[in-house]
Amino acid sequence: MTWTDRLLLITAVAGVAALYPWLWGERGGEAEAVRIWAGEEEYARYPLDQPRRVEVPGPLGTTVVEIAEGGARVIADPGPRQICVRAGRLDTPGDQALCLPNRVTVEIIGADPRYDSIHY
Amino acid sequence: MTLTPPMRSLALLLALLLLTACSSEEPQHRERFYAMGTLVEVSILGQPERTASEAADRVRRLLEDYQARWHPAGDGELGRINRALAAGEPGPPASDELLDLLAEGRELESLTGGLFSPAIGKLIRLWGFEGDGSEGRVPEETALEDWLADRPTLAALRQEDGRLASDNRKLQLNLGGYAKGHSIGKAIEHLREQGISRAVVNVGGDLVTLGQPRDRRWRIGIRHPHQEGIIASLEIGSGTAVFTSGDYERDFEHEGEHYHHILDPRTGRPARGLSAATVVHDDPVRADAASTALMLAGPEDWPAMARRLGVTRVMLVEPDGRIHLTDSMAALLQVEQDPEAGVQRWPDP
Repeated sequence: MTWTDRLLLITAVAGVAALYPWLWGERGGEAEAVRIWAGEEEYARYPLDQPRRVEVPGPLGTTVVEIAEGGARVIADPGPRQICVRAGRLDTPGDQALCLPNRVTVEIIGADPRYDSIHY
Repeated sequence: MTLTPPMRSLALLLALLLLTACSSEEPQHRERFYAMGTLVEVSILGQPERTASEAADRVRRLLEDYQARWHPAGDGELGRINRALAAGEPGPPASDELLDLLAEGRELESLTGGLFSPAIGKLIRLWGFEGDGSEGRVPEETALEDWLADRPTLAALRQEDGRLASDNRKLQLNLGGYAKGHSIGKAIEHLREQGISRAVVNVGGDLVTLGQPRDRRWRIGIRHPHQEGIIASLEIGSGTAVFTSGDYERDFEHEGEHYHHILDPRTGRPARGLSAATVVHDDPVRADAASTALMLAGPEDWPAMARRLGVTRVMLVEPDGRIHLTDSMAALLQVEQDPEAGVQRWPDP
């Protein structure tokens, strides 16, 4: 093995070690946008870096979604159980909150979602 | 520069290793619709959009069919049978599928010492939990006592030439404790028959997997029953069902007290002691029924109940936030929010 071989070997192994956490580590990419569903239709899609309030109509009334600081949350819902309000801030791709019976869903999207499905 | 043969092999190996990291995720088709009173998500991997969409549409029709047939007070099969039972008459002929599910219900009722019972439909109606829970109310004490005096079980249900009958007019069938497990299981069978090999069917949060993604397991986030955020992340493989029963699903407050839909047939009142019970099992019907039975068994008796039902992968959440995990559940799961009350590990029941 020549000195060049040794140098190449050390560089390659160090490179793989440095890249390991990024390429093979725990999945879960950046949150890019929030997608809001009214019933079975997509109602709106917004980037998470611009604050705004979105009023989403449903069969029971209006569900209000607030987008701020890279995440989204339901701040008001006409449903009796308030489960989607209690879900709190959503900022992980694949995470979502469902407002029933107003049939509004708030979903965080992004490359390489951390979750395939949400269990509740 | 010329590489020696061993170095060429090593360089090739490292290059291949890097390439595996660059392999992109499979395209995922996700169809969402409302059925069985809740949101349904069918996620299908590795299929053309049209094939996936058609397959999801068949799942939709299947679930809508179950909803129509098995609503306890509807115009379908179960509603007609319940009206006949209330009148003390034999019902119309029952389908083989319903009879099979009731046979399974008898087994579950026996295994749980009557805690899990599809025969408590009238009690569920008294509490206003038959629909989506928006009509929840505390029943009159005399009505509860009256029901408890004749507490019906499936043992009082007899079959006469495919017709169901009972001498106990308080016996009303409600399949809510395990029909969702049955329906999702059938949906998965439908997908498999259509050539789908990798999918998740999620009905109102409860889910079953078919196959798994190319190079990893399914990643499931479990939402906290009472607080913000995800309480735990779960990694599961093929043919796995995840079901939770919780005190937050259909509930109401009355005079400062919280009431929920998981009713204890011994007392006629909501179960106390646990906020949520999550069960992972290969059989969706067993997972569905066991999550309810563990809620009813409560913090003292759940290990014995889990043992009788043959479930080992269990997570429980107490009202103070304390999490209980069996060893085999802990192997699949990462707690994302450490509760102040702590996490308690249990040997598998």
